[in-house]
Amino acid sequence: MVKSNIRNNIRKLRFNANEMTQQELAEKVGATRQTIHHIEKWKYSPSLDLAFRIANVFRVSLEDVFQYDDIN
Amino acid sequence: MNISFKEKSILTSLIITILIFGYYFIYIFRAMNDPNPNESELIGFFFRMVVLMIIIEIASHITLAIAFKKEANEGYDERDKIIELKAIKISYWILILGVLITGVNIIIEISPLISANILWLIFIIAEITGDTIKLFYYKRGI
Repeated sequence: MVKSNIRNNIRKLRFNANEMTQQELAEKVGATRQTIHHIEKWKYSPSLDLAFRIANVFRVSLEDVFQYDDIN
Repeated sequence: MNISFKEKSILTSLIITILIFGYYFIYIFRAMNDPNPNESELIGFFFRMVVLMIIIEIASHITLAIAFKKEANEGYDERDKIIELKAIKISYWILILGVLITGVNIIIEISPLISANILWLIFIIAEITGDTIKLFYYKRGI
């Protein structure tokens, strides 16, 4: 399984947003639930466009959602 | 094992293609061993297989859509498009190879029936490879 170098806090942010489901987030950002699932599992790095839309849903900056990890 | 609707759909198409055209090529290979193959019968067999595949594909996808109604309504997003493009890229190179082989067949004057079936075989291989690549990326991640 390929792991992305881009880490994220989406699971935590969803929990803090009244336990928003992956499906709800997917609908808000115009993606599929599978894509949100793969982003959370670090198996897919979203486009900048999708990354900004996710950050906008939680009303936080991009860096609060995604971090680059160059250890791998 | 948890697989998405898209994976189920691709897997269904893959199995249908392998079964129908596996049978088709076994039949054609046997017919080609005949020194005087009945060309019109083989062409008719080809069209029957294509029609059969279309009918089974439609029926199976309608069944899948009814069984997984909620997932079936989910559209395609950027990840699906990237996976689709990666699969098309590999399939494209296989099809290019098919065109080159067909060109050589024309030069060395192989029977048009054999030549057409080689081209069709490469098309089916490209299709199977494309579907397999999609399943691979859906499972492994990109």
